[in-house]
Amino acid sequence: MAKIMVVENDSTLRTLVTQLLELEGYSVMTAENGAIALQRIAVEQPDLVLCDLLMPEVDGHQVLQWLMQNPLTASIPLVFLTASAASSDREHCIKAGAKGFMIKPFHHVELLDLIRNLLPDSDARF
Amino acid sequence: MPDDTHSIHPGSLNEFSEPTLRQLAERLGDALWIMDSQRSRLFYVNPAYEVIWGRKASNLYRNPGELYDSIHPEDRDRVVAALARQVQGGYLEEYRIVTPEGVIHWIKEQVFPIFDKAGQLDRLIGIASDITASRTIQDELYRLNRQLEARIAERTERLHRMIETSTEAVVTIDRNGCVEEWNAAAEALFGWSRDEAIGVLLSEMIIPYRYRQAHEAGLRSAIVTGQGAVLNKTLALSALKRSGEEFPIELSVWPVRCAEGYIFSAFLRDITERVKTEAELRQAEADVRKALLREQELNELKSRFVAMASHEFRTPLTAILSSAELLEAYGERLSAEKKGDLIGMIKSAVKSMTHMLEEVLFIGKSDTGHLQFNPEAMDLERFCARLLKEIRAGVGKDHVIDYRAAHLEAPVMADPHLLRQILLNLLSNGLKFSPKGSRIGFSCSRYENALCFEVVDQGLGIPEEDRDNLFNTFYRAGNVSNVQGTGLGLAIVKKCVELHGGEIEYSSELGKGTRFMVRIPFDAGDV
Repeated sequence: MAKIMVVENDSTLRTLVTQLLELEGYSVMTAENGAIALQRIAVEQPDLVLCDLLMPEVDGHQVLQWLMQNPLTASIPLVFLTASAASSDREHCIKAGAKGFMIKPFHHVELLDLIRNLLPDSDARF
Repeated sequence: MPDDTHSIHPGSLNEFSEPTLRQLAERLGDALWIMDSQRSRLFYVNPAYEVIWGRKASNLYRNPGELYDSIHPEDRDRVVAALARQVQGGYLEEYRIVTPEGVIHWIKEQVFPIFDKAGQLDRLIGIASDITASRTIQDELYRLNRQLEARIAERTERLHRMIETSTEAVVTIDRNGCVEEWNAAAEALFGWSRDEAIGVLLSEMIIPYRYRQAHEAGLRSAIVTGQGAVLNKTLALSALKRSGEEFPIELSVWPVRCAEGYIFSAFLRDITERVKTEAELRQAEADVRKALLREQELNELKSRFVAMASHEFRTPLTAILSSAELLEAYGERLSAEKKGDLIGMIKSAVKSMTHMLEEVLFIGKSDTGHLQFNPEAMDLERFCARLLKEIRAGVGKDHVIDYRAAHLEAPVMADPHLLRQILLNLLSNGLKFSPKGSRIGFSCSRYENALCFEVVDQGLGIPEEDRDNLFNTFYRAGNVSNVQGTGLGLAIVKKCVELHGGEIEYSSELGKGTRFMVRIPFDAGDV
């Protein structure tokens, strides 16, 4: 069962994304900000990270940078879920190593397709 | 003869024998004549007469008057008047004669009276020289001199006319600072006529009183040195008209070296129009700048609104869409409780969006002057209790709110809607930016004719660089980008306080917290 880390500081959205992924059979862990996420990723080694861009203290950019720099986590795909619709942000994030950039609000089908593409060998589906 | 020579003493005419005198007379270059005392009979005239006068001597013997008949008409009266002196001695005249060919000769004539032994006037001897050559040179010199003088006079006159007709006022002052030259343009410019101005101290006429001392001191030093700060450049300064009106002029002063030191000339011109035009231009430029700044502000406001709306609206929209899709796609697998939660999330997201929209509309109303201020007698104690209950159950459920009230028993005059906006926004901000579980202080006190509210949080604090813009529409401090908000809360608070005629102040320390203080005056007599 693939493990997905959801990093989101809005509790409602965190709950909704968690619920969706669990309904799709993924194992989900959450973090409400970048600092907590970094601690948990190091320990739990998720298969994929869904991450908000704007967060207090450690933001999405820093989470990505930290993951890319660490050999143990560099291969973990990271997808941004963001309220920022600026195309420059998307380019910047993809260049920095993000595997996806989804703008809120998003359709659950598209998010699930993206996750499945990034986790091809996933045994998450029932 | 040597002995005879020695025997001749001064005054002896012995040597002048008749033949000697005759030879002398015949060879003399000057005309010589001897007449009777009445000039009616000519005894002798020498040959030089014929050469100089161009007339026959024989005619003169017949008519001695011919000697003076040939005088130039312009000189004749003068010579005739002088003839009387011939018999008295001391006659010496210069005059012109006209020869029969019409040639003019200048004659210098001297006449000596000769007396007989009895002392009676016997005859007149005249000697007349042709002085035409020397007279011509002299005349030419006179002519040249006159010509030169005429030219100088003409030049001077031309220069004077030039100055006089100059459209520029020209003023010259002497070494005492008194006016020496004052042209028509100066008359028109200052209202003093030339006659009034000449000889008067310039500073007393046209220099405003407060500048006089400086002007006179400058003049004193310039008179000696020919140098000074105001010389040889163009200056703008204030001058006085005869009416006492002060007006701006431009002037250029230059020193003119003269025997006694320096005098000063100046061109002066009225620059009232130019100064006015310049002021208008500056005003127009300022207006354009202001309009541009306003335009810029509006653009920034628009950008801030777009940024806010695009960011802040996306979160509740995501909650709505995700909840709806979960209900749609997984509805049959969800418990009734979960479904209820999802519907609750939709409702709460819609509520949050509606709130944001209301804030935007509120600011729009206030910006267009449509926000109304309707004060009424309020029971503030009850009002605060209800507000607190609402907040404690809602946004404040994770915090502790310490409430203190003082002297709220009697009713007060305030607009309850605006007051609600003030307190709700200040409290929501305090809660939003403070850690969960922390304490928020809220106090509400009434003084004689003012209400004071205080909200103290233990939140992020307001960065120094954001303080100038804190109450601006859509403005959000740099350290709150992760906390939801429209950037309208404090703008709304400020507008509501202003409508009450009140004041808002705050103190803040980064990382420690912020204290907002609102003071609203009211007329106790209105209650």
